[in-house]
Amino acid sequence: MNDVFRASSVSGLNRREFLTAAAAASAGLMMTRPGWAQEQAGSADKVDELRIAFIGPGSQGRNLLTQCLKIPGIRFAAICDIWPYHQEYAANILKKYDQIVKVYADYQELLAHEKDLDAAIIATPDWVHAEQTVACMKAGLHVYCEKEMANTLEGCRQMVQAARDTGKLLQIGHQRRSNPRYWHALKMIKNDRILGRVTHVNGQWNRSRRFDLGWPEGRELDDASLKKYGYDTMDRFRNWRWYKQYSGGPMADLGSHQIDVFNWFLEAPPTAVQASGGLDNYDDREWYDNVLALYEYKVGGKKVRGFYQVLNTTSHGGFFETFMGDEGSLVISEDTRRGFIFREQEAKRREWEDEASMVETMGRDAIELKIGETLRPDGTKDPEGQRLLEESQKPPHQLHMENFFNAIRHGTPLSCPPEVAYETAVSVLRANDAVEAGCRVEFKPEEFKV
Amino acid sequence: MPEIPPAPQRFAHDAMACTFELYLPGVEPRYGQRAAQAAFDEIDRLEQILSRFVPHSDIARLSALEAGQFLRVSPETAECLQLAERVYAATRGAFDVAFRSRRDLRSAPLVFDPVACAVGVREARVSLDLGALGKGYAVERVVALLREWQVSSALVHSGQSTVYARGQPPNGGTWRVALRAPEQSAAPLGFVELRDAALSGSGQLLHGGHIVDPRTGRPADRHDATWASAPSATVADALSTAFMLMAADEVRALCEHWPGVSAILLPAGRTAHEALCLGPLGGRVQWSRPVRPPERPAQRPEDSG
Repeated sequence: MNDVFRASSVSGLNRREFLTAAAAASAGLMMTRPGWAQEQAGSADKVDELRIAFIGPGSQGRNLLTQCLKIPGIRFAAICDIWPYHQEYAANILKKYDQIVKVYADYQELLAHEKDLDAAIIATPDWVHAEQTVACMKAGLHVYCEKEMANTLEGCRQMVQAARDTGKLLQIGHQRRSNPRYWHALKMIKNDRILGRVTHVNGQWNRSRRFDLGWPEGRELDDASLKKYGYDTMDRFRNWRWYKQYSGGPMADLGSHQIDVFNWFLEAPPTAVQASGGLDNYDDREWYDNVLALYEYKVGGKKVRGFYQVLNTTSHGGFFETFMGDEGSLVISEDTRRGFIFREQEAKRREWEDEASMVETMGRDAIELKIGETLRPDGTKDPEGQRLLEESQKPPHQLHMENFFNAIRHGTPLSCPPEVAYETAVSVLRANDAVEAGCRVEFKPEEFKV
Repeated sequence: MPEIPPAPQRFAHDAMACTFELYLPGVEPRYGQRAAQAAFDEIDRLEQILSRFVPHSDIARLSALEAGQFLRVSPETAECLQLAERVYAATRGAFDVAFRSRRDLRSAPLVFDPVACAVGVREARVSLDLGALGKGYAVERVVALLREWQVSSALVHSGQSTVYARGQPPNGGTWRVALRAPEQSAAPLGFVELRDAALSGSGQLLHGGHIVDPRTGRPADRHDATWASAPSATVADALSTAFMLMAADEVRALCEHWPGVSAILLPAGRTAHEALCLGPLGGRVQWSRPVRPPERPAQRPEDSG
């Protein structure tokens, strides 16, 4: 069966030889031509190519860019970053995928010159999200914008409004919303009521002390460019997450993902928040390095209380979200090693629990949160579960971008449209207000609407 | 101007199931911290792509493909897998990242599409494991990053298994790296002088007999420990593992054909005196105890590619 390939070493194949080999193989071996068979499994449709502009390929942007390159039918037409160092990095990656792009420093020039785009992906600092997203949608593009939507609620409102006015799609980067593991957890809680009535939620994102971000000597932006784009110094540009002008602080950077899951699973935004926090452990910054927040929700007429912490001096416990009910608790994290259900002793046992895979963690027996285990009446595995299991192996941001591209191509629903992300933005940015005011913030339902 | 501390700054970071360390001499402290942060962020990024224990890594996803399927991968994954194929060929199968799936020595489980950065599999569920070169690759990428950051002198290692010495230490000369024989925890077996080169070690006792001959499925028992030096940390990491399974003559032949590659072999049951030094490194190893001198005249370092 391997005769076709035996003649030459694989690593020595050049492009033409490779194609010959692949074509030859497709007859005998069903070796698919590079059409990214895995993604196309079950569908022979040729996907339409979408032309994309990428704005802000910094550290998070690189992550999005490389995951996006694994999605079939995506063609990058232009990239934009105010820093040449980032421009070069991104252009070099794209070259490795045979994608040669136009490079811009100013997104307005990009929009003025690139007339054949379908969508933009925006991963710039939070304070320019609103301006750039609104401009892109007005230029006729669908937009995937990283969270936080914006670092001010006014900016967030402009984005929601622009999506309505233009009719363009706007996906915000709360990528857990497109993650089959989270869908499965929600199904267990909501449909199967495995936790009984949820009474409390708890979450955290603790990470070790980090040094500031820097830049290679000689690669700094010149003063005129920094000034033009709104930064006093190179330091502030690189470490924008720590400054109030540019960012919503750790509650927006990290907390936002998890408060978003609380709101999503509880199917309601919070009713109140009180919080303590401060810049206690770092110098030369502005934002709080630690925040501990107490949220209140009202679900089915009953109170649900939540505790959330974000710390930047210890990685203790890592990051996760926990839902606690009177019949059990569920811990989930984007880190796939963490997904457990703990059942209360008094809880009525479910038939499937006898066959569930158990692990001992945190000193207790836990049911592993596994997807793809659902059985059909005849005892075989449910194919939809198997499909979701396969999907769940993709990188989390790739899934969220695929959800966005599917919405463009097929009109399927976005998993994080701007109205949903706005509720999350209110929930986290108002926690910052609670820290500053040192008092309890009560939410009015209309606060979450635009 | 901020002062440059007299001793190298040390930075440590846990990733890829080991502790990476950076020693940066002659660098202003804040610049050193930021360079180290950039290096550690890069290592974490690579772990997400290359570790078979991360379910959405390229390696885990390639291992789940059905026969004939392709996956677009990160350029780093393609680079590692292609280098692995090269080492596989050069070691006649002693090094094999796909050994669990390779049916015979001439079969090739992977296909590369260099233009679209994609990798295909010829058989379902090819089991891939970059454990024997991933840490070396991370060291290599960190060294490239430090070069970009114009850090001219540095020592980088991945849990002491692969070390790269960049430039010269603060007092000039070359970086001096100690070799430790598996059975002796305290006294070094000898020292290697390194400059702009990597050294990687593999040992049978050190790691509890984890090296298995991919060709026979049997544990490696030819040598107690082996070291490989090369201009590339990835190559050094991969070869040190392969050398555990290769006869001295095979290692010697490889060193002659692969520019800049050297080996130190400690044959099973032999004393440090009987360690063999092969390749251009021979002239740059200093032994703490007398050992047999290199069997061949050392090549000039300039010959290294």
